[in-house]
Amino acid sequence: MNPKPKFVYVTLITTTPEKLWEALTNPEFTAQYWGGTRLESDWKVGSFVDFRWRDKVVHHDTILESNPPRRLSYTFRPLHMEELLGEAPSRVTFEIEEFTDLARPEEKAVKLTVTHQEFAEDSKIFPMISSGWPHILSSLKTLLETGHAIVFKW
Amino acid sequence: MKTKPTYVYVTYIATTPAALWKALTTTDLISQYWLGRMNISSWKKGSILESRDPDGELEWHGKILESKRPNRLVYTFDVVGRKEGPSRVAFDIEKHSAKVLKLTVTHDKFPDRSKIFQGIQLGWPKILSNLKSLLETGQAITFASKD
Repeated sequence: MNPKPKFVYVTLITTTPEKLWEALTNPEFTAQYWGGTRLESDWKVGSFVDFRWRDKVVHHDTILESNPPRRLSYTFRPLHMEELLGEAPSRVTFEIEEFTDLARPEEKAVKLTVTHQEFAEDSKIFPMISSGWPHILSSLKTLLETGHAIVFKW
Repeated sequence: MKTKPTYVYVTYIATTPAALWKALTTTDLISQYWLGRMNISSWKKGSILESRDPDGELEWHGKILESKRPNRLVYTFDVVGRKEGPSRVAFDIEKHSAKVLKLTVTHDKFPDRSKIFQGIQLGWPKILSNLKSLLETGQAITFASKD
């Protein structure tokens, strides 16, 4: 029996939970590290979140959990590639934990865990997101730590 | 079909392959991002690698299997005082653009039901996040506890 595919990525970022939450939910920020994609929502449970890329809505997902600044979860279903429309929505969860055992007390650091799951065994989207998330999350970390996101060549 | 456990971590870092290779193979730099540990080796193929904790205790050791500056570094990972045999760590460095590279760390060849495999799940993100911060900002996170 093959286990259902699940992607988990952990990264540590020198920032506060509040700043990380802002970066995840403010479209002015997401556009900088998410390949130009604006994530637009009021971020309440049950609301929609639109992913807007070059003026096209490429996702119209649903907020499942929203506990600022600790936990955010939404469905994930890309709309802009016809060959993927047959797949059921998957689910992304962001968990933010603050470190309290730092040697320098004035320093702030958080652990971000991104879990992307609920894929079918033969999902075509799964390999795409497995490659995509390290790009997005690396760029997010660089943005929060240096003020400038990594801009990738596609 | 049982597959042996494999851990893979990909990160993109705004630095050059030469700067990353230096950070991976210079003991003073390693201790800044590797949770206070000192990894000591000549880094030549066939040579020994020792990893000592902040108190100087040997925690793990290995042998350099491949050393192809600045693109691939591979060594065995043998934890002191454990019955499990050695696993294998590989760093693959690919240039993405003039200012950005892709680092892929693969930790594999664990025995079935490895306990060490569970332990490295949080260790690697801590070390590699810190390595990225050190190269991009000049500073890594310092934890108060040894772990």
